[in-house]
Amino acid sequence: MNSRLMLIGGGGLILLLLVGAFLLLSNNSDTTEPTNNPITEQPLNEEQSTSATPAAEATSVSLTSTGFSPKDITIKKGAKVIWTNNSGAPATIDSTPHPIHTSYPELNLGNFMNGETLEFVFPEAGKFNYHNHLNSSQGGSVTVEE
Amino acid sequence: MKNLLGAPKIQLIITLLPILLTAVLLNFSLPLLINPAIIILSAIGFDFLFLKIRKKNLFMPSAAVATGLIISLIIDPSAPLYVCVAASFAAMFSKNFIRPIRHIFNPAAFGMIFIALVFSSFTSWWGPSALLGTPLFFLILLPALVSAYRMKRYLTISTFFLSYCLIAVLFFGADPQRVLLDPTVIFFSLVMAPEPMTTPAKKQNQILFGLFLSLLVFVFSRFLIGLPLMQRIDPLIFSLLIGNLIFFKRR
Repeated sequence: MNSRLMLIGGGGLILLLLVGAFLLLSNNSDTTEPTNNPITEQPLNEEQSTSATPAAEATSVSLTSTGFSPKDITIKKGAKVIWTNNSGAPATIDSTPHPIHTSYPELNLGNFMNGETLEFVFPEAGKFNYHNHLNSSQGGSVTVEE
Repeated sequence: MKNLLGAPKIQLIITLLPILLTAVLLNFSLPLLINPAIIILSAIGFDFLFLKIRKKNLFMPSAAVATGLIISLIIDPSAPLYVCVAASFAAMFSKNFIRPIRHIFNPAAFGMIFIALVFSSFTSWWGPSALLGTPLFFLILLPALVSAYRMKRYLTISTFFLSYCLIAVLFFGADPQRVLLDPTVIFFSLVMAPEPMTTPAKKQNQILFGLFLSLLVFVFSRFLIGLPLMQRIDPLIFSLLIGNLIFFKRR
């Protein structure tokens, strides 16, 4: 009975990891360019396309080994934020809270390696907190104004 | 020597060392070289000190080394040295003094909560995360040989990991790939959650413990995150300590 339970538990765990690895390998060929993240390619809605060029504005945030800089930014609705990973390590941009990232799932942009960028156009006003899931002490916020 | 290498704690140390060394090499910096050494040495030092205070005989500090390694892998890499020492102090304090019969709390988790509350030093999980995207990612699975096989906590591990993944994907729309290969969750599942001195051994209680932990993580993360306390502490670590406390009598 002990062996059976161990086999079932261990087998389930291995199966999950294999599925995860399969998904990772199958997605790698499709998502080599983080800047092509579908979220950043959302078409602007009609209101944004007729407003005064918020989509042309882009704010850059750099992730270094000490965290995000600038840590807290304020932008206009429809503006873009570009994160650049200069930390020397893999990182992510994910919504709070850690570790489930449920406050604003659209901001779960995923992994980016050193030197790569991720970007997001904020379509609504509010304050959006995010963090680097792989070093969850590093976090920042984006305040979006109307 | 053979007896020494056969001890589960020593085997855990052997599986944690490659993770730490690889993570340090991949992200080399002076703090990452110095901080782990300080953490481990101070854990040993405090363990010996507190054993003396308790008038106990000194013994091989394998538990202190293992705790120091875990703290080294999950503490904020930019934490000042005094915070690193404080984490080791709190970990060994809980191991030696918060113990009606045996110690209640996972020492590494207690140390991390202490520095989060006192110094606002948030848990980082930098060590296991450093291996993501590298061919050496499999190293974070090595501790399973000890925790699942030698320490027989495979039910705690599998129950927590499976339920966490299912809840995250089915109820919170998480990306299955990211959840399944999340180095934070894998490391927590394989190393911290199944710590044998503070978690149930009986199979039924292992399952309950694993389920309880995963549910608690989501409750804290989703519904209590607005509380000032939850802004400063990691839900995984906090859930583990609550689980340690509740299951203290249900071994």
